[in-house]
Amino acid sequence: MMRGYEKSWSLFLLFFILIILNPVFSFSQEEEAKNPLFNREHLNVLVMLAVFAVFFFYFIFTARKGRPLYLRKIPGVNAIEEAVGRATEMGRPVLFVPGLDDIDEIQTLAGIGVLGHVAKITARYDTPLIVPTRRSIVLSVCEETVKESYTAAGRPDAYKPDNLRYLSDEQFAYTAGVDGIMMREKPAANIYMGTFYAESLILAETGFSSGAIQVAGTASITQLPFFVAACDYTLLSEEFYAASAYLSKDPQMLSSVKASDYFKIIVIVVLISGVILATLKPEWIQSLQNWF
Amino acid sequence: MRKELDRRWIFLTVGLVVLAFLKIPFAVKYAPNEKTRGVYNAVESLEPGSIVYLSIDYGPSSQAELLPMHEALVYHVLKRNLKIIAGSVWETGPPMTDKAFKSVAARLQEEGISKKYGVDYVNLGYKSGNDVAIAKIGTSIPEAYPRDYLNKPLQEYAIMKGVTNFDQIGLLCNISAGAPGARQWLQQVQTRYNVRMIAGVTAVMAPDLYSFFQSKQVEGFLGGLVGAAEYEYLLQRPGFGMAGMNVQSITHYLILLFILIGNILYLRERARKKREQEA
Amino acid sequence: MIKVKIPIFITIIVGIFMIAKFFLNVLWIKAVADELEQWGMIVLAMAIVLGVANILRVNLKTALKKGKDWQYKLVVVISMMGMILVGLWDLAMRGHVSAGSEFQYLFDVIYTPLSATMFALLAFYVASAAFRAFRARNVGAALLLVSGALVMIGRVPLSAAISGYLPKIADWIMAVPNAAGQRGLIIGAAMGVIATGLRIIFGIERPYLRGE
Repeated sequence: MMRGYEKSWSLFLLFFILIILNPVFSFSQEEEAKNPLFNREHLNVLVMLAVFAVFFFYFIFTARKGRPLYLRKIPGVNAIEEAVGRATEMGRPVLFVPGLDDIDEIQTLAGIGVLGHVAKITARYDTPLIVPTRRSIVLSVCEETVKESYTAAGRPDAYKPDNLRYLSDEQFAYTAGVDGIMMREKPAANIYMGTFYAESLILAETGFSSGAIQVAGTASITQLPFFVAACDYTLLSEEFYAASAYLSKDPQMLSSVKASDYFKIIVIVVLISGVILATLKPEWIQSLQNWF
Repeated sequence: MRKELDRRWIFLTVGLVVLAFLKIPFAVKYAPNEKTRGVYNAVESLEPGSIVYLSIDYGPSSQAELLPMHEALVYHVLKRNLKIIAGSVWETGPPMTDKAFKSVAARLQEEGISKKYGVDYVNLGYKSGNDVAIAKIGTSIPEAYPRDYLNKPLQEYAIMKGVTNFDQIGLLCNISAGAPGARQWLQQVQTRYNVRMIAGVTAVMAPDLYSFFQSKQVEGFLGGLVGAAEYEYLLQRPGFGMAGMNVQSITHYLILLFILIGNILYLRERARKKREQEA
Repeated sequence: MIKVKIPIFITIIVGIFMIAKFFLNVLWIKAVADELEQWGMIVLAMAIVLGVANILRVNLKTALKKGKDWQYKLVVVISMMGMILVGLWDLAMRGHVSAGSEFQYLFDVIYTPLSATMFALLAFYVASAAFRAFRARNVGAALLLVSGALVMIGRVPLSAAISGYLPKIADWIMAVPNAAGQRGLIIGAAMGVIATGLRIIFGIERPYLRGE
């Protein structure tokens, strides 16, 4: 017998499928026949994605078999745990900023992945965790993430909903709000993980002046120099995407990092060959260039 | 290291130097680079009557850096008898568009040139949805914006006659302070519809556009207040960009001085520690 | 279990439609994907209600109880409600919140100077961060210091008055080593995006859904 909530979930799913398939019936076959089935302009992307997927699923398969995976250490990832530990020792809160973009940005999701692990540690040590957000949807996802982490750590009672706060959608109002939290509530560890813009240095410098240990992670390339200058540790670009996999220590998650490393070798080979070919300029280079 | 100098001294020095050099003039020389010239040449290359689509994706926070180039660009375009359709995917953008149109129209009036809203330029207002909104504007401008900034139907305006998509647009220009901005316009519109594009961005974002300039996806771009000043110089129309160059030049040198002092202190400290260890 | 499996299933379906739309010219797939995008936009826009509710819950509670920093919380609530009411008033009376409206007036006289001030803080913070962090600790840091200094010098017109070479050197640093490094980081980030995207689409990473 299905339980009540299971039944309602199943009904919701059925409803979802029916609705998304609704536009399917509004097109005639003739309209469709006008276009070629496959978008040839995106063939290069498809080939690359397929190669990546092969690595991805191969390493997941080997991880499931229990074969150990070696990955180099990333100092910034260990620093996250250290920073939370220090805040606990000092009896002060941890501040986690999940970036400024909405949930449709992959950096925000990567940041929330890290938040899940940070919340588990703060739950274990009973350290307050403050999460200010700029977008309402990000707030609800962060609420769920932190709540789940506290439950997983066996401390659902320690979860404080008032510590997860939506501040403002406006960039500098949000920045002022986060700066205010830093100055008034004096967190001992500031963790910035997500997309950042011009406010990055304003946040990191205020955090520095409040004496907090600071760890940042972002793929916003124009803001990396500011974080490197003002934070104790910075996860650069792809290190940031790999951070939640590192922290989870889950073989399946780690295998995706391994896959992207192997794929990178292919990209490097293609790049070097491209440079050599572009320098030598054989006649067939133009058609190859067009393909890419 | 954290206790060596109260940073408020640095703040005070920067503040005083900026205030002082707002009034003290000295000689500067403009050498507009190929990116700035690219913007200038792109506007110059358009036939009179062509339409420029201007996406204003910044707000009052970055107006000190972006409004001068925004006004210079609007001035250049209108003076050449081109038309401007301006939209925004930032909710803070439309008031900036309004501000620039009003000040440039007044300036042109002083020069004896009359420009009319709805005929020579129009402010479409804000479209929500970030990247998806840009893609939608790319598909159809009137569908994305059925009404303008003042909530009036677009059909009422002469400038919008015959404009359906980017086939009727001679040049796409984006002035932005973040995302969605130049990169998103490149991805969603420039590449898909092969539109000629130029951009203006904050100095921090400028390094992001070098690759797109090298691949000729943007014909030119203005980076920060320096970009605006160089552009004003090319137009022979001094504005806030050129007026700010004294302060910007001196502040750059001041920061260099701070870096130098910081390094001297650091090296002295390191030598002292080394001596102590040896002793 | 079903509480976890169904959201993952929805994520996979939506993810597959989005990928398929990119590669295939099949109208019904495009239509479904467009429909899902519209849903996404509506959900994102409607979520502002959650944000407003959170602001009211967190701040009003403290303000009414006169808890720690209650004055600030009261200012937040009054400012937010004030702007909302003025906006609604303008919409009812004028049909827009643009030029000439009271909403625009508040935007010009309060919001504009406040946000411009926050942005202007950058000038001061750049100076203090440069003073503290730009140090020749080793060969790498020294190289960074020299190239940073050259770019700073070369980017302002005062330097062009000193020597015509200074802007050229700055431009070369930006166009060659800087662009090369940026491309490396962009390519690396793209791998990270694909890996993270696949982890999320296939339900391997789901930080908000652990409640088995």
